[in-house]
Amino acid sequence: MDETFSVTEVVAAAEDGDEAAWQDIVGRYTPLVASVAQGFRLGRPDVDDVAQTVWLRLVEHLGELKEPRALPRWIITTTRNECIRLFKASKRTRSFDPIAERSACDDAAAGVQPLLIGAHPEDPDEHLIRAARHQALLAALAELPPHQRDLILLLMEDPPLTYQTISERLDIPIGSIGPTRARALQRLRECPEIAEWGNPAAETSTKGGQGYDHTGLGR
Amino acid sequence: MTTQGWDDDDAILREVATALREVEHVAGPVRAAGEAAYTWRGIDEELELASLAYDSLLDVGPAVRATAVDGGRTLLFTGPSASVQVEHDSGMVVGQLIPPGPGRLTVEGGDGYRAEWEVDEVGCFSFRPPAAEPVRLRVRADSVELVTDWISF
Repeated sequence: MDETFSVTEVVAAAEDGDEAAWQDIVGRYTPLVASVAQGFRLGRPDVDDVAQTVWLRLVEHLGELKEPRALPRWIITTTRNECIRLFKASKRTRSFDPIAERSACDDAAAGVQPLLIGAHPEDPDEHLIRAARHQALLAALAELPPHQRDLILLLMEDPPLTYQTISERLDIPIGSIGPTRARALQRLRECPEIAEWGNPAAETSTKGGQGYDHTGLGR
Repeated sequence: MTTQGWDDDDAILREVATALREVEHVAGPVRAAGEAAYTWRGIDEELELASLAYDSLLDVGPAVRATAVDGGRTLLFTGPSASVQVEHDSGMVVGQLIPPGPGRLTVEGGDGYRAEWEVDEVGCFSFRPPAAEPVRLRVRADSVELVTDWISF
């Protein structure tokens, strides 16, 4: 099994013209894009619009994302910015639910960037923390080696699948499901998004060198 | 404390499941948009990429915010040797290429829109962008050949 899997290599392959690698990235990061857009409570056409712009732009910027944490950061920032852009552009032509608009747009505009700057567990705004936790988990899930990620996704099925079915779908012995699950969860916890959760010091120490863009244009 | 319930295997799995379930209904279209996006790759390899460097809609400074909402929208795309500044107001986009020079502008939409416009001798151009479709600007002028980031007007 490929324990040395790294998303950075998939990004490099996609940049190099490997379409399967690009489709892998899309599959892995779709939940993260969707989750950020969801936080803005956008309707379907708006989510489509945001997603299309984010992916199209990502295709052109793959070459700049050579560092492991760059991709989730880029995706979160760009998706957030596109949602804000959509809110503000639409504001000129139609009215909005003021509560939804305040909670989503203003939080974002005020610079709330949960994954990027580390939301503190003490933060009183529970839905923001919840959204940030989900984004951290989805970013970490996207970084798992294929066999671990596939297993986690099958374990998420509702109603739950039997180990027999999982064993058949993944073509692995039933006896290896438990250990693979344990290693997958261990790896999930070791992902920077999870490991550094609620530890802004760790975030700050790495942030400076990674060209975080304060204008939030997600380049 | 730092992992907030993520030490427990079942708890972390439950939370991942919740996170995935909440995006389930939009995951299909988000993924479809991603799968289609790769067809745009590499078409412009010989062109300079002018990245989005400024968008007045995203300028969160308190003073600028109000004007960004009320007035037109200003965007700046910068590349290694040239830049493009555009303003979007009342459905029209007016822009200028720097360094200035005459040429052709192709406005390309993510869903297939395509239109050509003239860039005049001082690098100025204007066009009406398609609705609900991200576009990018491809400029071939005397001084420069570039393509901008994708943007939704």
